[in-house]
Amino acid sequence: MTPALEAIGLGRRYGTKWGLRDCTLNVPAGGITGLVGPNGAGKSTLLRLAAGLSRPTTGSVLVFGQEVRPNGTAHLGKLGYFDQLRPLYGSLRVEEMLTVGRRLNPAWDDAAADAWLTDLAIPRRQKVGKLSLGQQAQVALTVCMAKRPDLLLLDEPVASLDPLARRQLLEILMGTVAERGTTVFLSSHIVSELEPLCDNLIILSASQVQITGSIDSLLADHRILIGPRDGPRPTGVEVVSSRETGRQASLLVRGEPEGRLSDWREAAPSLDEIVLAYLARPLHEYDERAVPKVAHEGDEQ
Amino acid sequence: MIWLAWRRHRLLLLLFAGGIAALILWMLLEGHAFELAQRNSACTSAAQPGTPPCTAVLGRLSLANQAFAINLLLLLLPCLVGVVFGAPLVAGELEHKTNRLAWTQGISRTRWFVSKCLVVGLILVGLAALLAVVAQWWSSHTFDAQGFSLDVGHLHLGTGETRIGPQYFAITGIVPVAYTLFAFGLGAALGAFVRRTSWAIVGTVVGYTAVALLMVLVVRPSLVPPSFSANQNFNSGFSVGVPTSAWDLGEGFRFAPGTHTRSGASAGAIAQTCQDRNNMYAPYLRCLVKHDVQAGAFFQPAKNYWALQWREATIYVAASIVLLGVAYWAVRRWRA
Amino acid sequence: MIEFRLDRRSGVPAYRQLVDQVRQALTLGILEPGDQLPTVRDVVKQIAINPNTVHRAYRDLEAQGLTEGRPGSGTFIRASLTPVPDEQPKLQRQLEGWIRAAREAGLGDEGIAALVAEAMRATERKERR
Repeated sequence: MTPALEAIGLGRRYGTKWGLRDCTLNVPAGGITGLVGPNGAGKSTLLRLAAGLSRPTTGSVLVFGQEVRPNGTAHLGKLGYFDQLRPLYGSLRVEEMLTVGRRLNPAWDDAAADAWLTDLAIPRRQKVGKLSLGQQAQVALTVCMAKRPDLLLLDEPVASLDPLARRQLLEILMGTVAERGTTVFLSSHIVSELEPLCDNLIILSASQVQITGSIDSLLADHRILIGPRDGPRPTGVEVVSSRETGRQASLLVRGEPEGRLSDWREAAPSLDEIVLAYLARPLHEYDERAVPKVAHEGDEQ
Repeated sequence: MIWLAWRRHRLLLLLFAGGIAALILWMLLEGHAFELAQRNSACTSAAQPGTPPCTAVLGRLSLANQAFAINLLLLLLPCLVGVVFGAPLVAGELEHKTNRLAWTQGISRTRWFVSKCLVVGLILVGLAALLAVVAQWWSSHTFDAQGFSLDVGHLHLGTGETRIGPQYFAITGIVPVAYTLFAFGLGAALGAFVRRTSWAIVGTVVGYTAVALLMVLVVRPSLVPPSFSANQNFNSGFSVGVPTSAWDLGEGFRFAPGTHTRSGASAGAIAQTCQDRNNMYAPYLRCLVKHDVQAGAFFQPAKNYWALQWREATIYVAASIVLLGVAYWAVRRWRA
Repeated sequence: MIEFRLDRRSGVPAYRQLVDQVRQALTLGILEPGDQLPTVRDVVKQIAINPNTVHRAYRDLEAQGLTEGRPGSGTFIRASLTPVPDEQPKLQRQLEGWIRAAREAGLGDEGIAALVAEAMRATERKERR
């Protein structure tokens, strides 16, 4: 099946700095994929490139198999984009924001937009600039979703929202996924937020993709090995991170260790630990190594 | 997108249109007052427009001062348009990042930009055209007012009497529309590049003023080849032979028509040399005659009014098109 | 109708929690054969969770023979889950034997509890694959 989003060698340079470098990944259709990484890792850059707001310096990005061109409109019918800053026209009323969506989009579901705003109890005649932060985010999401896109790109959709607004926003988002099987690609720098929501995860750090895969596979493929600091290390595994204290070493590894480990104990890492391990990895010099890929939800086995 | 462009700019556009309407009303009243005053015999002399019988009609401010104020407003208006509508056109959205919203709906950047330009630009051009028509009528009634005058080098700016003079040329005919379009394009292009409305405003004011000054001081005088009035009697000034309905460009020298110029020195340079060598008028004159140089004044006669209008308007409109094209190019390249 | 809850900090995966909550409800008699489970849409409305997770939990329950999906109507309970009395004593005897062996090998109470927790997690991971 065509992936909802595919990046091939995608890179974006700002002056001498790379915002995103040699990014190759794909987001499978029909699922919810999370993009996690620290601030400044390139998450927003990736999402903007995917939405056609930015032009790649290297490589290309495809939405449902079609290349995204910044001044083109072909990809716009298929995707909805939610920006981190949630820009809205502050002097327009909520109902006028819907008019904007209706007029600027070829497909628009007025009834759905109306239903969502009613569920969220957002006053229609209020000026958007006067709404609370949570309500603004909810209006921005409504505008994104009412065009009924097949792919939603959300940049930190629930950042700095109060718990109620956050919950409401996620409810209508998940509701639309349940109804229509929309593919969602959302970014966050908080792993615990993404874990209950996502099928797949992409870890981005230092402008490069560190690893991608389904959350199940990530948890299954990684293990914590605890053993003596001095002495033979387990073989047949890739060490992602290691910590040494006193006489003990604690390694987070990927893969199945060869043979029986008499001196080493195995423990199951949490997703948080796995992500942290990848983010804390010492930065490699940029090289041509392929990004480790792990099975995706829905992949043919 | 047309709807959105109108909705976002409608407050400013309506306020502006209201202001223009008020200005037009003022001009109509003032022009009418001038007409009445001119029929009053005490006012017909051009030397006395400020005296009591002429001031009676419109409030305390004398008609002459009001005419000055209106004239100034009309001169500044195109630049104001550039500042208020041109500079924030693109820069305003880039600053607030609302372009990230607008460019991810269903329309291309091209359609976004063109719609904004058309909605705002056409309305402004329409208002400018209306204003220019009224200004044409108004100015014809206020020629007797004491206009400001300015001497820059050899150039004499401003006479009260004629629409070809810089004071009235810039506010009548078709050039005000071209200026408005130019200021709008300048503001939009600067805004698209510097991406900050405040800097774009400063740049627009500086740029517009620089171009306007350049046009008046350097380009317009030669846009249509000027006429020359030879004057050998220096005691009465160089411009004695220039008709009052013309735009006096100040003193100048030329080779007498029919004489072939020798390669090298211009008429002005030769005149300077003659002046340096002779302290008294008579030998100076003889020197000029010997070199076939005439002294006098250049001027643009009234009949050149429309030729100058068309040529200058063409320059400004061409520049506007280039500027809007530049703004469009910047929009296409923008990385959000 | 059952109301689901999600404990995001328990470390137990979400779909597992849903399955466990249905099983618990069956055990306690809150759910009986013939009762309808909430639709995926309804669950998502109660707790903002990935719909695929709900699908997965329901598939699991169906595989365990506890539910059946009726096309056009929804998911319904088809079996009950009263604890089988016979199994329990046998499991308990097996467990006591193992604990004795572990104590003889030198494991204290804490060590035993740690081993049990790890073994539970290991079998859980194997189930996921």
